[in-house]
Amino acid sequence: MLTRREFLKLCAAGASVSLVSVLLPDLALAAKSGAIDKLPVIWIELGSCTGDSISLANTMDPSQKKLFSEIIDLRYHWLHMAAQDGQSVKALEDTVQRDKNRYILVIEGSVVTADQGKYNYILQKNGSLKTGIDMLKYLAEHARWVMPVGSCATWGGPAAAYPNPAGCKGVAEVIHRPVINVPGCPAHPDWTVGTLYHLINYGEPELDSAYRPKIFFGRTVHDRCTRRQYFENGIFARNPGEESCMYLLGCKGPVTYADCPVRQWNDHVNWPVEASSPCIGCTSPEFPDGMMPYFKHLPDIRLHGATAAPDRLAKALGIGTAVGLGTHLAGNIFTGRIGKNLISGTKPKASIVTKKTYPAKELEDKVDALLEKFDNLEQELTHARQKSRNKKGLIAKAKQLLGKDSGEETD
Amino acid sequence: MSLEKKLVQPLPVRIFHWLTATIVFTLVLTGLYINNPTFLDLPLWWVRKVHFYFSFLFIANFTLYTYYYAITRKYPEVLFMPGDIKKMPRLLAFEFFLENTQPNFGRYNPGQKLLFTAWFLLALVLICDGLVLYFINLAQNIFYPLALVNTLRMIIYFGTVFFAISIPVHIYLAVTSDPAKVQAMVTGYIEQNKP
Ligand code: HEM
Ligand code: SF4
Repeated sequence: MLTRREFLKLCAAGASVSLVSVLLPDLALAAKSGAIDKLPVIWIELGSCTGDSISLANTMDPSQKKLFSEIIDLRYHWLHMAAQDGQSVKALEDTVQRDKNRYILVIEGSVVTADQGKYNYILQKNGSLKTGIDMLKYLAEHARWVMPVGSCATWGGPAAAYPNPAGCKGVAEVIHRPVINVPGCPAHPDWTVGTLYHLINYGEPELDSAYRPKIFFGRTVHDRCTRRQYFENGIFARNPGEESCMYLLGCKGPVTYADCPVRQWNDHVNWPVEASSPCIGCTSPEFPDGMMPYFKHLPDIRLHGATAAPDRLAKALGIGTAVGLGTHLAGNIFTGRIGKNLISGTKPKASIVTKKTYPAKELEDKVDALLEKFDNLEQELTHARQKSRNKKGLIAKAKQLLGKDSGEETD
Repeated sequence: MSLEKKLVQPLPVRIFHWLTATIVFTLVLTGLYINNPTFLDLPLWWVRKVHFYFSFLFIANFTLYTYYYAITRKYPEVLFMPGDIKKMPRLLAFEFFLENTQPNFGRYNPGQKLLFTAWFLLALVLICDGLVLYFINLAQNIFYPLALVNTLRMIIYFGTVFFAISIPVHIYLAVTSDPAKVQAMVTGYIEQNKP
C-alpha cells in the first residue's frame, strides 16, 4: 500500500494518467489483504443535476464498479442502487443504526431551505416523504465524516445563484459541523476518489480555510496553466477558440484554486483552457454569482435587483468627478477667485499660518469680553476719580477749618 | 510689515509626499493595465514586475510615513479629527461659493484631512489585499474571507478607481486655491507677512 507521503506526491504531481487508475489496484489489494477497512458510504443527492455522480462515472479504468464494490462499501446512492423503495431506505437506516460514527456521508447538491425544504423531497420513510434538509441533518449527526461533493453541496453553487428562489445553501451553512469540501462543477472523479482514499487510509486531509483538501485545491489554475507563457507575453485571445491566453475573455484561472491544468479531464484528455475556453472558477466559493459574467474579468455588482458592470461604474464615477471639477472650475472663474489666487500665486499673503486661529464667532466673543472688561475698568476709574476728588474736597475743607481756628488764636 | 519664512513641510514630509505620489501613480497605472491589458502593447510580465517592485516600495514608504507622523505626534494635523466636523460647514460654504473669504484652517483644511484619512485607510486595505494576491497560494489557508479572491480583486479595482479620481481632485484644489502651499511642498517654506 502507498504511504501517505507517496500518495500526496502522486496527487500533487497530477499524474499524467488518471489518479483513479493508479490508486485503485493498490486499494483493492490493500482491501483484500485486510490492510484497510472498507468504510461504509452513504451518498445522498439534494438540489442538483446529478453531475457529480455522472462525473464519478467518468472513470474508465478501473471501473466505477470496482470502486463501489472493492474500495468503499456503498450502502446508499439513489442512482447506483439495485435496491428500490423500502429496501433501499432500510439499507440506509441499517447503516445509521449499525455503523454510527463510522460511515462517510457524501452529499451532492445544495440544501433547499425555502418553505421547510419542501421543494426537495428525497425519499419516503414509513409512508411519509422526507425533505433533503431533514435527511441531511439526521444523517450528518451520526456520520464520521461529512463530505459535500460538487459546488452546489459545498457553497450552494448554481442552485443558489441569484435570485435563488428555493433558498439553496451549502451543507456547512446548515449543519454547523466540520466538513470536507470537494467542490467543482462537477467535481473531478480524482478529487472525489482521492479524498475518499485519504479519509479511509490516513484520516482527514489537510484543508484550507474553505475546507478544501490542499492536495487538490492548494494552488491556482493560473499557476500551472498550460497557456501561462501567452499570459506573460501579453498574447491574448479575443475570441473563444483562439490558441492563446484566455485572460481577456474573463478567465478565472488567476482566482481559482484547482489542479485542472495538470490533472485534466475525461481521463487526462483535455481541460477548458486547452479547449480554448476560459476557466469559469467553478471550485470557488464565489461561484457562480461572483464569477459572472464568465466572459468578463470582474463580476457584475448587484444592488437591490439592479446590475452594474464594475468598469461601467468606474467610468460613471470618473465622468461624475470630471463634471464636478468642471463645474467648480467654472464657479472659480466666474467669481474671479481663481484669477486672484493664481495672480497672487506664491506671493506673501497676510499670515497663512498663525500660531492659533480663531473662528469668527470665537473672535467676536473674545472682543465682546474685552470690551466688557474695558467698560468695567472705565467705571472703576471714574469711581476712583470721584473718590479722590471727594478726598481732596475733604482735605481742603479741613484745612479751611483749621486755618480759621489758628487765626482766631493768633489774633 | 516685515516678511517671515515659515517652515510648513519639513524635509521628511516632502520626501514621503513625492515618493508616495510617484509610487501610487505607477501602481494605479500598472494596476489598471493588469486589469485590462489592452490599451498598450506591453508584455504583461514586465508590467506585473513593475507593479510588484513598486508595491513593496509602497509598503516601505507607507510604513515610514506613518511612523513619522506617529513619533512626531503630528497626525492630528493630517488626519480628520472629531473636532474637524464642526469646521466642515464653513469649508463647504466657501467651496460652494456661498461665502467669499477663504477661512484660515491652518496647515490643512478639514476636507483635505478627510481625503488624507480616506487614503490612509485605503492604503491599508490595498496593502493587505495586494499581499493576498501576491501570496495567493498561502493566503487562502489563513482565514476564509481571504479565499474569496475574486471579491478581493474587485476591492483592489475600486480602491484604484478611488485613487484615480481623487488624486486629480487633490491636485486641482491644491493648485487653484493656493499655489503658495504647493510651493511649500517643494521648498518646505511659505512666505508670509508677519502677523
Ligand atoms: C496604491 C496601491 C495599489 C494599487 C492602486 C493597486 C492596483 C492594482 C490593480 C488595479 C490590480 C488589478 C486587479 C485586477 O485583476 O483587476 C492589481 C493587481 C495586483 N496587485 Fe496591486 N495595487 C496596489 C498595491 C499593491 C500592493 C501593496 C501589492 C503587494 C504586493 C499589490 C500586488 C498586486 C498583485 C499580486 C496583483 C495581481 C497581479 C496579477 O494578477 O497578475 N498591489 N493591483
Ligand atoms: S488562460 Fe487563464 S489560467 Fe491560463 S494563463 Fe491565461 S488567465 Fe491564466
